[in-house]
Amino acid sequence: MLAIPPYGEVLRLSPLRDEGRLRIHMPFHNDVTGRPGYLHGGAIAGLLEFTAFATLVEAIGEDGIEMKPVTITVDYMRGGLHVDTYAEAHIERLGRRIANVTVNAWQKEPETPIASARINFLLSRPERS
Amino acid sequence: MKSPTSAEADALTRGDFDIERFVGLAGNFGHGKAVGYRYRDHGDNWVELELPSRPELVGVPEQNILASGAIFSLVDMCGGASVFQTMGLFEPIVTIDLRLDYLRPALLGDSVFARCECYKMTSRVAFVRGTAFLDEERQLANVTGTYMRRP
Repeated sequence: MLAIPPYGEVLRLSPLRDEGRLRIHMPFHNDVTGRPGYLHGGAIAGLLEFTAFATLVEAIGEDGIEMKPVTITVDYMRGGLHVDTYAEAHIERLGRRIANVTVNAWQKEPETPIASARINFLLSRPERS
Repeated sequence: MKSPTSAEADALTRGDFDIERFVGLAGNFGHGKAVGYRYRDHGDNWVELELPSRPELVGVPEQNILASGAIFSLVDMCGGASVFQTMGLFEPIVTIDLRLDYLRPALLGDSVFARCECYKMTSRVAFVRGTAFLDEERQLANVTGTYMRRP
């Protein structure tokens, strides 16, 4: 079961499944609003980042591996409206030390993303004994 | 304190330009209020904000690490504020892209500061660079972003 951290609770994130793929849902609520009529870019970034992190946790599936975001680049493509938002991540490469992840957020349909991010994670695996 | 309504927020953007007042309002409304940033300081083309530490901002509970998403949120606001400050007026802007390089994590109990400057302004695009830090010696993240004017 995926644990939602406190900041994820602020955004009210919850996991969904679409044909086995992990999808994260962020409902529309006051704590994610920005300028009048739109979502806040920071809330969208929080959704993207958690989705990437959670997808990576599932893919690695081992305890004791730390995942630290090293770089994140967010492209904002459309204004986020006052409706629910969804995100899915795709792991481009999972290496021993670095994982490269892309993640999209959308509202109406996945083909029209409101934002996209590329996040590179540093993986710290436990020392082999 | 009562949260401002959309109409009040809208009215502010038509009033006299005051970046401290604007940040105060944005920090008491919607996501800004949920994250809880505050105005610190500004210059001709830069703005500094503070994000006081709160348990709600934790992203990795096992190590009490603050969510990088919360820092991203602070920096997005700070970068946008530096664009308003440089323009000297409130006209609509949107973030085109924003990149953070995370140099070290912030822990629960740390107050996080962000300072962003708008180093180049064209008629359509504002270019921003900045930093998130704990103090002068401990930088958390390096920031690069672009914002579009009158989207």
